[in-house]
Amino acid sequence: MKLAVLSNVNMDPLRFCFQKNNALELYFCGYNRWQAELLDTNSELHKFAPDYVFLYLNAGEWNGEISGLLASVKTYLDYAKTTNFIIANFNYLPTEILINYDNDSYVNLLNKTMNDFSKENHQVTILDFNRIIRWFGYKNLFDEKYWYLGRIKLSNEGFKVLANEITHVLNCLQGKTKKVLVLDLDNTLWGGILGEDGMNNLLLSEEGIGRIFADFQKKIKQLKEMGVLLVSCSKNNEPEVMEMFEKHPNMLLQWEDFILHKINWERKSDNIAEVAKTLQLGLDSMVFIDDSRQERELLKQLLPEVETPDFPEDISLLNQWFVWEVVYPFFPKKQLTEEDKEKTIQYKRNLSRKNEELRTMNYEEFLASLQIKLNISELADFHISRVAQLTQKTNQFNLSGKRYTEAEISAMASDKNSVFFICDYEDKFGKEGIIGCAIVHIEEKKAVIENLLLSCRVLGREVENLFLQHILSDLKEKSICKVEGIFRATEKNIAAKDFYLKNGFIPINEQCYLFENL
Amino acid sequence: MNSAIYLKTFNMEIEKRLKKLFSETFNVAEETIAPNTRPSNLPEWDSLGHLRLFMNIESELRISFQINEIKELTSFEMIMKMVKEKIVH
Repeated sequence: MKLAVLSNVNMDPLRFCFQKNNALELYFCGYNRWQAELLDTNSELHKFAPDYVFLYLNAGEWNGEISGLLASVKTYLDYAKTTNFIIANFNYLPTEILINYDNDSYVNLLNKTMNDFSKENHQVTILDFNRIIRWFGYKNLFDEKYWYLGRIKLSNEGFKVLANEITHVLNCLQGKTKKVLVLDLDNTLWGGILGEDGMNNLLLSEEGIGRIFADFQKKIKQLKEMGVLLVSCSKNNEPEVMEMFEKHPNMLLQWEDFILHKINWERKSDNIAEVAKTLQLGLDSMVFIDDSRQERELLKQLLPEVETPDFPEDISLLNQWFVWEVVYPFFPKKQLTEEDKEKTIQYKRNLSRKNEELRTMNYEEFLASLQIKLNISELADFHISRVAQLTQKTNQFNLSGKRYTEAEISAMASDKNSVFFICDYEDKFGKEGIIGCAIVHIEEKKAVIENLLLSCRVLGREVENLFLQHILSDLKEKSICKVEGIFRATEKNIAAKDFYLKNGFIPINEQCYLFENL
Repeated sequence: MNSAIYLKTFNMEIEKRLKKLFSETFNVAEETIAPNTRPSNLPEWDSLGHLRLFMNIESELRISFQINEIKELTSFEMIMKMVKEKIVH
C-alpha cells in the first residue's frame, strides 16, 4: 500500500512513526511543493502513484485560496481515479495577537467548504485534526522551536498522534472496521454485581457515580444506531438479567438492542466463538469489553483474533476511554450508509428466518414461503459507497476475492464497457437493501463476469442462482452470446467454488468458466 | 550507596539511554556511537536527523533544550554532558 504525504510545512518526522508498518510504502513531497506536485503530471508524486494521499496544510502558514486548493485536489483525482485523498481539516490558531472570533470563523469557513467538497467526492475523506487537538491540547501537539529550526510544526507527540489517526482512517477506508461489540454486564454496564448486590443496589442512576454507567449505556446505544451489533456476555442467571433490563428505571439499553445474549456460566471464549458462528462473522470482527482483568487475559490467550482492549482502572474515565480507545480505533465511520442503520433489525430478521428453517421441513417450501423478491438495477451514484462496502466486507461469496474502494468503483462506473448489476433483496420479513452486485465487462458479443458478490446474510436461499439467471437474461437482451465467469479461490470463498458449474457453465481453466450459446 | 558509586551508575545509565536514542533515531547499531560521533563522521546524522534526535531526547527524557543549544550541541559527548546537567538541575 502506498501513502503520499503532502504539506506546506515539514512533515518528514511522520515517516518514522510508520516505521513498524512494513506494508506501507511512503512518499514525502518536499514541503510547499504540494500544489505543483498535484498538478504536474510528470512530478514524483504522479510517478509514485499512491493509493492514498494525506494532505495537511497549516492554516497559519497558508495564504492561498480554498477554491485553488480544492481545484488542485480535484484535478489530481480526475487523473488518479483510484486514489483516495485524506485531508486534515485546518486547525485553529491559538497564538494570534487579535483575540476575536474572526480568525476562528475564517477557519470554520475553510473547513465547511472542505467538508462539502468531501461529501460530493467519493475519493475524499476529511481527517478531523481539530478534534484531536481539542483532546490532546495544542501545546502538546505543536512545538515552535522546531518550526524555527527546520520548518516543523508538530511535536514528537503531535506526529505520533497524527500517525495513529491516519492509520484509523486508512483502516476505515479499507473496510477493516469491527462489526460486533461484546459486552460484559456486572461492573461494565452497571456498577456492582447483580447476583450479589441485587437490582436495587446497583450503581446506575441519573445522579452521582451511577451516572457514569447511564452515560456509558447512552454511548453504546449510539454505537448500535451506527450499525454496530451488540452482544452481551456475562456470568449471571438469565432470568435475573432479563428482569433487570425490564424493570430497572435507568436501563437505557433494552433487551432487544442486543442481537444475542450469552448469559450463562460457560467460558466466555466458548460463548464468543459460538456468537461468531451464529452470526457467520469472523472472530476478527469482534471487540470484547470486560472490567475483569482475568477474563480479558483468558480471552486474549484463547481467542487472540478478538480485540480485547484494557478497561480503565478509574471508572470515571469509562466514557472518554470508550470513545478514544474503542470507538475511534475499532469503529470509525466515514459516512453512514442506510444499510448500516438497518443492520441490527436485519440480523434479527435473519435469526427468525433461521427458526423458520427449523420448523419447515421442506426446503423448497421454505424458500417459497419466504416470498423472495430481487430487484436488480444499474449502478447509481448513491449505490457507490454501499457497493464498495460490500466488496470490502464480503468474504464467503466473493467470487474473485477482489476488493474495491469507492474511488475504484467510481472509476469503473465511468467506463462504458463495464456494467454493474445491483441486487436488492426483499422477502416477507422485510427489506434487506443492497445485498449483491456483479461487475461485468462487455466486449462486443462477449461478456465477462469479473466479479459477483453476495452478502452472507442471504446465502443459502438460492439468491445467488436467481441473481445469475437475471444477469444472463439481461445480457441476452443485449445480444450477448458468450458469457465467461471468473472464480479465484481465496481462503474464505471455497463454498462458492462450484457456483458456475451448477449453473451450466463449463470450466475453461482453473479461474474461468464459459457459458456458450446464450 | 556512597555518592561516588551513585554518580558512576547515573553516568552509565545516561550514556546507555542516549546511545539507544541515537541508534533508534539514525537507525544504526549502538556500537557505532562513540563520544566523538558527530555529523561529519556519521552520514545518517544530517540536518533533519539532528532535529529528530533532539525531539526524541526531549520527549523520552522529559527535558527541554533551548533553541541555541540545539544548534550548538553537535557531538555525542557534548549532548551527553548537557543532558546530565539538565537532569541534575
